[in-house]
Amino acid sequence: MSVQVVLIVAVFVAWFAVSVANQFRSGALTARMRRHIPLGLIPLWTFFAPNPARADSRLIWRAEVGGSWRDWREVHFGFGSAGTRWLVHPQLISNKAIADLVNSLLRVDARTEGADRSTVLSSSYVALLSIVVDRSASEAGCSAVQFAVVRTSRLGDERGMSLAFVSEVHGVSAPQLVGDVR
Amino acid sequence: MFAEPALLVSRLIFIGLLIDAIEVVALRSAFADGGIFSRSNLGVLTAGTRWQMRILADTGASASVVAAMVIQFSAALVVIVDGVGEPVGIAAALCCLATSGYVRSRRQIGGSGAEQLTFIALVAFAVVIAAGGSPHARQVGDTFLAAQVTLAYVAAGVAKLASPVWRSGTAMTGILSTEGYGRPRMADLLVAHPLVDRLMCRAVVAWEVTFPLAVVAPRPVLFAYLATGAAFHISCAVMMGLNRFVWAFCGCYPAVWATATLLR
Repeated sequence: MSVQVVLIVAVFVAWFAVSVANQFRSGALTARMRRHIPLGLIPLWTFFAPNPARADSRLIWRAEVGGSWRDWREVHFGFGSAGTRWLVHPQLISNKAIADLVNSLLRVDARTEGADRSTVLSSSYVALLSIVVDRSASEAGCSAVQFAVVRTSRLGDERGMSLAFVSEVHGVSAPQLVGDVR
Repeated sequence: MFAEPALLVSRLIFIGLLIDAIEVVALRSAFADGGIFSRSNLGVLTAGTRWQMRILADTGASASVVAAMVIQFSAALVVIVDGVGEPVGIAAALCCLATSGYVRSRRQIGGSGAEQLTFIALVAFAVVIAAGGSPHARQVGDTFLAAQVTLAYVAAGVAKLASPVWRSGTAMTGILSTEGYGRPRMADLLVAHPLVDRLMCRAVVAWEVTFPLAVVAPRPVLFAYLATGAAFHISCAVMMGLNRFVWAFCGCYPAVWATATLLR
């Protein structure tokens, strides 16, 4: 066996060992490694477990224009058509991106229970706010925005909806990307 | 997969990379200013992370992303035609690694396990080539990929086994009733026939948890496991829209086959 082969055996064994350790989410060592190793090279394979998706997380927002609040609207990218999504499904990426941000936000919020400013200062909160503020740019005279996360589900004829998170109200002015907390 | 580059089935992950390129081009406006993957949003998302997490994260607007995906599409086509056994195919596969790494970093969120496995396979291939790309090195690469696929299934199976929702046999109804992954008619069918849901949940868990047997069992059993896996991923694509998993996971099955053969 050549030196190169011995070396790659060592690389792959180490990589696989870290991958196995990462499946036990509580490990402080693997958490530290995940923060150092980019591009998801240390996988966490759970696929719809332990808590499978049973509801859709939806990002809604509203704008304050001329002193009154407009109706809530959804940041929505549509769902792939059943006829084509088995082959090409770009909407899955956009919807998953919003779901990733929402799940991260809800995790931070659950951890801090609103006791400090961690939720508002988290990257997921600021990123969601930034997405909403970008949308408000087309709203002439918009002075403030607010967003919320709602969970919707459907089973048979029954439709369920629950409010998972409501943001603070953020003042916006045209040249700013992200508004100030009011 | 790497050890038998002439096999057409060894090129499946590159079909996934073709589809990835098409999907990202379809989402090009999301990478422009004001889009969810705009540079300013990515700057926010990666602020405070380590330097290696921020590489290329906010580099290039939608035109750069589209250019990368055009290159990826062409390179993936070359591999599908040529395989990864010859220099042209090897260069094209490494090109796919570069473009897919760029888009993964440039997007940060919205990825799936299928993309992750594809990227791991591409990095593993680069390691194999860096070690000379000899038949031995390729076998080692295949064994690593087989181990990752086995780990993926077992970890997912054990996580499901630990879940009260999966154990109760209602998970599939819940998933299929969402708009994102669902099929209303299928969900209604499962509501009307809860036994079918229970059987599906148990079958998925049993198949995932026992997947390591495939590697050591006689060849017909291995074939049955992999055929079941292909059917499972195709069903997930049709019912849940998880299109990329077919190409990523089935694309690594040749590595599982090669490793199982090696162990005999």
